[in-house]
Amino acid sequence: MKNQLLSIILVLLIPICFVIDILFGSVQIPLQGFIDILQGNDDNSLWYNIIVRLRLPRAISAILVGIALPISGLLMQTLFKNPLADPYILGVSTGASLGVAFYSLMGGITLGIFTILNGSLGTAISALIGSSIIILLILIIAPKIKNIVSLLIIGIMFGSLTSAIVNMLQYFSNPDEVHNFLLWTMGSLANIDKTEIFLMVIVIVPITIVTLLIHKPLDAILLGENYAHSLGVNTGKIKIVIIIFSTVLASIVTAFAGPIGFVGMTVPHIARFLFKTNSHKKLIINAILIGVNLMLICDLISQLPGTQTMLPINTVTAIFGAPIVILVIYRSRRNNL
Amino acid sequence: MNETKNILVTLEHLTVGYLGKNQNSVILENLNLSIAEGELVCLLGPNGCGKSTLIRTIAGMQPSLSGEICIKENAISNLEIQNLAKIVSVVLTDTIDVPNMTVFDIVALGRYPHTGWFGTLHSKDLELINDCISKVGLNHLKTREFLQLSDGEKQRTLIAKALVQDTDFILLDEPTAHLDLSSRIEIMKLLKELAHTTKKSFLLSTHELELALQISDKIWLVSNKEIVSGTASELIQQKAFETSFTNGNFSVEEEEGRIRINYLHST
Repeated sequence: MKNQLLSIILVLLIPICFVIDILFGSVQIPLQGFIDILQGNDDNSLWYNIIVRLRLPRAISAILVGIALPISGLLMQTLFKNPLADPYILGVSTGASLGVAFYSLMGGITLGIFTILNGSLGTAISALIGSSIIILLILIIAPKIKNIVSLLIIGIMFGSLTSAIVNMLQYFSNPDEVHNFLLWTMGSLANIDKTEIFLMVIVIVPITIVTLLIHKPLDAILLGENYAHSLGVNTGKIKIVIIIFSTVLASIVTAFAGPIGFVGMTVPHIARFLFKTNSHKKLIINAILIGVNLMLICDLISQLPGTQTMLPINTVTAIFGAPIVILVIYRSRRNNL
Repeated sequence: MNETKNILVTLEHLTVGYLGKNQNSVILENLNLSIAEGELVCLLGPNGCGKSTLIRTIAGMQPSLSGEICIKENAISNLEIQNLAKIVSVVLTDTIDVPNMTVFDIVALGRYPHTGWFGTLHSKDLELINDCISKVGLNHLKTREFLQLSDGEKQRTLIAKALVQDTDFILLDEPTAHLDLSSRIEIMKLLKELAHTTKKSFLLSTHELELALQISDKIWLVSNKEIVSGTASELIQQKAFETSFTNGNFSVEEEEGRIRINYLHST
């Protein structure tokens, strides 16, 4: 009962956060102006352009990221039974950054084909290629690894390896290119256009629905692989499904918005903390609700309403995320969280 | 127990062990054994003799090297894992370290093989879950978080989970490990009672020799890659325990099944 009330509040908060996120920014737009635009009474003003061209795509991207990353993080935490697992734990973001590094640092020379693409789509595609290579490597290795902790270590090693190569590329590049690359690593919801939003929707929505449908085996593997097996779960298959879903969600987000830290790791914890449950049906739904609200709020903060500057979204999520991670560790010593 | 007991589980020429690249390592060889309905069988033997390997093999968690395990006339190697889960349930030594799960939540997971895609628990399921929780005596702790329970209470929860799974055969790997004496006896008594009231068959591995002698309907004693089967008194008379365990350290008294330490022994 208390939980349902909490979920309803979270649902009601989404449109509120959404509208506030759209109205506030470097230019403040009154609610009436937004309503006029929605009704089609005003379709050529400055406000119209700001809202339709800039803020609406950004807010929708925030919502998509708020759905994708928490599910991705939750899946990884369930698979590794490790509360600090996050969407990037298997090296998706470093794989993506390797792709982007090749593109933005050595773009003109090595990957000639991308130069015909426009800047942001080229970045996204190179990020997707980079993370896909990592996903493929993980998928080739995963079925052969019996011990789940070994898989975790292999993922982290992939991460170290790719970030070493990225560092090397940076070392040999000129400062302007490094600056562009660093901007990408800070994450941004600002440059995502309609086509990219469409691409995110067709990847994120189906995976979200299927993840909700497999909440039953997800619950069972919480007991460990042997118990899950004894309950009739095909643990090998579900492991692969979890890895594919989680890494694909993380890599599509990383491709378009850059690596956005902490959301994927912390939102499932907030959900567990608020709802005192480990049932995946409830966790998935509520992690989505929390994630969407949180991303909208983080986006709003990153706009620094009333000023002309913007913060990178990654810094905002880190500022709220890091204290939560510390809290998780602190609680885990006392309460086994 | 009369003579017309129905056989539930049979092991036919079963060899268990691990597949190797060049040579398989055989742990237990050519086992021909059976368990009847409602029977409590204790699997005894020294550390590392293959008790857990046998349990894992019977539970379908690892393949046998040769031979067949039949439960209710189904060869388990031919069964889909979902169907196997409806005839065998397990209590393992694996630790469960999941926060925010109550006793009820854990026990309810036992219904997994019987519920539909969405895992909805119907009134019949809820009735069975509540019934099994009270059978293991945890009614008062139903809403308690699993991680806050004592080891004995955790073990009872997992036994309830196995009961809820509603299988004819329940396997337990060292269910009394880490428990104090009175909890060990409680768990053993509970299992014996459950075997006789529910008519389910239980196979449990244990190091509690004396307890096993008193409480089991049948003992499987691992001895030199083979298993000797019999009632407690049969095995005592055959001096089977003294052969199985390191020679000479103890002997089992014939009359009361007590263990006597031999201080002066020849090796």
